[in-house]
Amino acid sequence: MTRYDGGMTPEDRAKLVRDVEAYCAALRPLEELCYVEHKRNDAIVSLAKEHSLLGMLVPREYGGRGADAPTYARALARINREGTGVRTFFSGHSSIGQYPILRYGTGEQRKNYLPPSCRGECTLAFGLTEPEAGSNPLEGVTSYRRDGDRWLLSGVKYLISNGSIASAVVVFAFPEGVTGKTRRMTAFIVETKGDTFRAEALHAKLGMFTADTAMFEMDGHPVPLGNMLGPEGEGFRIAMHTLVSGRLSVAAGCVGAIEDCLAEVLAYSRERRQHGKEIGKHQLVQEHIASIELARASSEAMVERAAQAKQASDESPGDRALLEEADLRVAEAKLFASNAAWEAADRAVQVFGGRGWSEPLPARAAPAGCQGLPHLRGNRRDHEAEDRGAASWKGVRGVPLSVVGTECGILARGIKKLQLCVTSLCPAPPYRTDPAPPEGSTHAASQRAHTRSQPDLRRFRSWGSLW
Amino acid sequence: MPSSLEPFSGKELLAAPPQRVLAVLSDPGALAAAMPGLVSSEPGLDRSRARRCVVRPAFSFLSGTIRITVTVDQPSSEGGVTAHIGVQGIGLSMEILSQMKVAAGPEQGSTVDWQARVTGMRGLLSAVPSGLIRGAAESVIREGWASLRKTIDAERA
Repeated sequence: MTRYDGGMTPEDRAKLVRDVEAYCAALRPLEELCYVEHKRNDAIVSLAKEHSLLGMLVPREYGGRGADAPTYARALARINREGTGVRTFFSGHSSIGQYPILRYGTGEQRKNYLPPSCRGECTLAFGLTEPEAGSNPLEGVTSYRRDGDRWLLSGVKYLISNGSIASAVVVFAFPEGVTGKTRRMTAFIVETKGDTFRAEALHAKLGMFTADTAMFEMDGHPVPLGNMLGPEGEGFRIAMHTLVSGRLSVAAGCVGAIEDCLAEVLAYSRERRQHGKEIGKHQLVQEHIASIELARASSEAMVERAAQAKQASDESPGDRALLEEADLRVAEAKLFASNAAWEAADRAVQVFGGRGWSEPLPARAAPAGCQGLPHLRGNRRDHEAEDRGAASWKGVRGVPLSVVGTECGILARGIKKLQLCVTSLCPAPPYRTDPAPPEGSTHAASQRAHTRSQPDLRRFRSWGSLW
Repeated sequence: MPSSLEPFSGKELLAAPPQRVLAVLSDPGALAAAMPGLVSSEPGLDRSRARRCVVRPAFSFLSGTIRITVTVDQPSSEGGVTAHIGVQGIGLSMEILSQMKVAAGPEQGSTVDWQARVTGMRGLLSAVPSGLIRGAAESVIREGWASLRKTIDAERA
């Protein structure tokens, strides 16, 4: 199996940071408009092509940027600040589109699909889910059979990111007419052109309006013999391994969603005044902000750990223990970060008050965009079960991993410290009519820090070396 | 299939005489032309009794390309028309049985008592709430009858 080594230099990493920032700046106004209009944002792809971001995790030999897993995760977090729909495109195209071809493709398959996908000539997708096969892909009914020098695939795939804009989809199917233990899933790279492949975008979604989510039907759709991906019958293993990559991308995106919530509430809590002062000086608002920051910091830490574990696994493809470690850490990160993002978005709407209940307001994107996050790449309950199973495997039998990190005392101390921190971000107004607070109180801390002119998100980042 | 999907029924009053109304309602081409969102229509295997259509509904939960076949039985001597409608889209299919009874109405016009029943529903439609399906179906039926009425009245003129 190919050793995966991105080989990114510090200069390459710095250039990627600049390109991601430029992409996000250019995309934002279009994304905002498309979101409130509930329209797909085609600029997500065209601008990504312009900024050479369509192959971030693909090695340079295939025309990609060669990013390692932690760098790619940070890029996705930054991108998700513009919207979950934006990041979802990259998840579909790169994390679960390019990744399985890179990991399991033959030299010819990698040559045929990776460079064009990096240049923007070929958008990719991952076709596993079916109407009757969601949490359990083994209940899928999409079939394949050999017809001379080609395979013929038939079946319907559902809720496929990039499904109606992809030029090629990694599709999973079962051999036609086979039942029982010999019925094993196989992966194929399926090109989407032709009358036998019909795709339709899905519009009735609760969020991610700017992303393409689709279903497609194959009716005896021809696939070249050479487009089987990996050995016949190994499709399930390929799918599950690929979903680790996809799951990490969602977890990283959740960090970005929380960052977006934090940035918006910090700005709003400084400008909105009620009861004679900025709402950021009201303690209950501070509690919301502190909780959002806590969600951000903890999610960021878990995603970073998961990305490091994934990188270690990718660099040693045959090491089963590293793969299992990555699987566990990524599942933990995704479960935690997706729930944290939902909580952060809910709190952000609270800070915005009545204005939070309208689409054009910034935080409006957060709850709707975050709502699907616990379900992307695996239902939340599946992950809890997976975590408990993994915990047993790790010898920590019976300890629900969801409890880890939520010990009440640690959380309470953390929030109190953050409240002090957040208070210092709200500068005192030019006028002050309040009496001077006693030294040592939280208000004293606020006054000492009143020269801060605007919230600086970077002070919260442990990934400060990048952004 | 959602257990609460009761049959649809109604009564239409038309100014045209029964023979004219019967002729239109037993013409699969006329029925197909009345479908909202019709993209194309061509004769089916039995050219006189069947029609194959492509429709693009305008609902946010069902906006893709839908293929519909309409097959109309020979009208009965009592003025009854039965149409069999097959609906197929990606990951979904449905069968509908429509029965219409044309009779003489006031002022030399006609009355049409009609009923439509979903006899089969499979795939993604099964997950859609029955209230939503009913709302969408009633909207399609209303638009369909409005279009048929124009066709019938135009011929009269």
